[in-house]
Amino acid sequence: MTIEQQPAGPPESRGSAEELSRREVQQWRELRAQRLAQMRPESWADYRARYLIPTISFLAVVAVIVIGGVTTPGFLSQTNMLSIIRIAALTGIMGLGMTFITMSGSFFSLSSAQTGALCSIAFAAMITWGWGWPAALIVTLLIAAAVGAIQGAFVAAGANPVVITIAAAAAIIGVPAILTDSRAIIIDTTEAHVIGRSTGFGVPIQTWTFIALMVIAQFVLVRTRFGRAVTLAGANRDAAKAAGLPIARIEVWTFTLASITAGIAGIFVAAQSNRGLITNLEASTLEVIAAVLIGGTAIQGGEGSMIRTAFGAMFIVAINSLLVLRGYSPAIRTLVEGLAVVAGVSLFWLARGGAKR
Amino acid sequence: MVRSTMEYLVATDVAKSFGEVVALETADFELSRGEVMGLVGENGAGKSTFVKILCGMYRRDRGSIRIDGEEVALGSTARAERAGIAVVQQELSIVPTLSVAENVFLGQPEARAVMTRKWLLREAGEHLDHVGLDIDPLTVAGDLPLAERQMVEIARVVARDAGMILLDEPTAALPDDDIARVHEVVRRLAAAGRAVVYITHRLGEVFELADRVTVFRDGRSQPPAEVADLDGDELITRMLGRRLSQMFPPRATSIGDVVLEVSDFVTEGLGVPASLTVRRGEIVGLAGQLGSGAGELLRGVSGTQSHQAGHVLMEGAETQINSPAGALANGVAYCSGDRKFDGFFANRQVLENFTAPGLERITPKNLLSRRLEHRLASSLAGMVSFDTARLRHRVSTLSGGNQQKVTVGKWLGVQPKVLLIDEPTRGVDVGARAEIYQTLRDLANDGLAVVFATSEMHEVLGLADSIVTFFRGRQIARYDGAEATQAALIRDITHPDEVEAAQR
Repeated sequence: MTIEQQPAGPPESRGSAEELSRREVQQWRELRAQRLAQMRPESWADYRARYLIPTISFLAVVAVIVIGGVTTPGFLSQTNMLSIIRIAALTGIMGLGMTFITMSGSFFSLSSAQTGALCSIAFAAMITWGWGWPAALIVTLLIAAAVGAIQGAFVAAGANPVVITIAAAAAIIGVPAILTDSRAIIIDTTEAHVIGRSTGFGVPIQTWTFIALMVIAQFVLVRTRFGRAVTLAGANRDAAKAAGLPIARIEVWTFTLASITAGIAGIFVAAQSNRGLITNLEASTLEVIAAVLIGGTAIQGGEGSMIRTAFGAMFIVAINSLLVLRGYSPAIRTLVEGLAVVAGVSLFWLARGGAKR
Repeated sequence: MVRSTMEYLVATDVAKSFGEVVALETADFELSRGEVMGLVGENGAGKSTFVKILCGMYRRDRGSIRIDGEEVALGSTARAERAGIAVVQQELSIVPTLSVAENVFLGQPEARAVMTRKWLLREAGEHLDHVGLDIDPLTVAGDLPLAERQMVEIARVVARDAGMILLDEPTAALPDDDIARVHEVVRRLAAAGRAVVYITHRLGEVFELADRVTVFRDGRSQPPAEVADLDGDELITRMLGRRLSQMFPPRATSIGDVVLEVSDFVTEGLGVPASLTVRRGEIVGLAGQLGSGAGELLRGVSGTQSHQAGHVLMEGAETQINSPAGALANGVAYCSGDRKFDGFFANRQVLENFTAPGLERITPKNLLSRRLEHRLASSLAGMVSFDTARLRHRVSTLSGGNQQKVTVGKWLGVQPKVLLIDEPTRGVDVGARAEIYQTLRDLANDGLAVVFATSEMHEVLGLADSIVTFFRGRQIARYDGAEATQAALIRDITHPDEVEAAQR
């Protein structure tokens, strides 16, 4: 055998080496194009959908921090920063559960604050009964889950989520108000301090919990069957129903999750302040909703993420803190919060393509 | 009828595209005072786009529209109204909780801020007289029968004192006797010197009412024709053109065992018990107009709407289907005719749309596998010849044809035995239609049983292996696909006597 020998086979199928390599290059190009197509957002609209909105909400947080740092002494102090991330963690944790509801197309739960307050009282009461904190934590969260599941069941049966959760809010706060005569339950031991006041690397436990829950919630939203079903139910409820997705189960679960996250916030408040009180977390519902919307999750559902809600929570809390440091009254702070929601929602509407959609 | 020689409205070279999709290539149109101009064309022919431009709902890309010789912009519905164009929409827009009189003056410029009973009675009474409606103007509108509600709608539009009145299929949902009343009103309006455009799918109405007819086809208008010079066949040929025969794949060669058997089936909109037999590899076409019972049968069988009576046998076994999820569990997928409503998730990626019904297949142990998702979506895309490079696009950015491919293709993810499709090519342009027909045929050849409902006769004639006709809630007849004739089908699905009576 010599190296000059031609490869076997009829001459016409052999083709020239040039021809062969050209074909290979062509195939390789196609394959590469396919791979790239899978990796890269395909169009401007797609890019916009995936990255533009979270980018805006992130930049908004950065802007508030920069402006606050430059204009207001004490804003960037360690104490203030720790306080911001601790409060933002509570708003954010409640926001994670709320985001599931919003994503599924059921708008909001308006009973989050009351669920939180109920849980702060339940938790404080159990601690004063001499329970250990793990037992108190678990039982309190079970109560929260039950409260949420009941609301979810009503919504699944066709009730309007807004009406149901407003009604639930009144009922939820009514029971402990009667039982405690609207007085605070004071924890006089240090049993709950491990939940309320511990830190890791100088960062409050609330913040660590928030980060952990955010990662879990985001994973559930994008990488599980449940999360995909939630997203599709919000993207088009009728199409989701036609596709056989379990809408009722989704409703029950999203409201349960929102209630549990409100319960976690309530426990944190009780453990940190040593008090269970019906005014704990008061007025937080609207702040949580604002966080979800300013983060950039679509109010009609089907588009959004937990990370966006985290940015939204940080934005709301940071701007609030800034206004407090500058000595503005609560009325002004509420006003600014409202304006921020309007501005944010309008901006995201434009970012999604405005009236064209 | 007196027709003035001076044209009231003249449109020249009007065009409209949506992104890459050309909805209306070019349209010329003219209309005189005192005439009824019929406007016909298939779905997707550009007719409704043109009508929406006239109403001010769409803005034209180019072209001129003159009313009484003066160029008009028609940039919004309010401006179209001011230009003298009034529209009776297909969907009734009257408010059922208000009185007839209040409805007549709804949004009317001359309506007073405070409408007293006396004023309403006097003024509304006059407008109701114009349309020959002899009822108490203070009746609650919701209590009226459908036909009279339609008349109130017309009265409201007529009250605007518009020079031109556009009626969009005003008789689509009406029973026979009431149709005559609407026709009477239309004649009156023309006799009073108004220019009337009458859009209809019923060709019989064209012969009965119209002086001239403008046909739209493939995104173009054709020169107006005198109705007196036409007959039914000629009109149909003008509507469909000659390209038809090339659009359809060959019929089934081998048809298997019976998969789905429906008997004595009664559901809302299908009052007379109907039956249906579908075999493996077969495409069955249900022919009928909107509301004829054809689409209703599909909705009922798929559990999308409840049924009052009837049996459904899947492969010989009696099956209870009461919900879309139940249908899917039994191997029956239903693709609705209104894809924007429940056919796709507009703001999600094509990939996620394809895998939505078969979510279990890509989420082993409840965890989503990107690899399985991509594989399933790619294979479904291949089955409906959807370009896999576009799997990451959002459905809202696709053309109607591609949206329909996604809408249909996603159902194949649950590996159904029967695929029910309502209006498979609604809002799909001609080129993409041929692809959808080919896709359906390929699926049938692979053993799927396909049932589709349509109001387009050439579609059943070209595609179906067997045909069932429907008219106003009852099944009319059954044909072998190769033997059915257009004339027979049209007779079945339109008012059976209407065409003949009008042509006599």
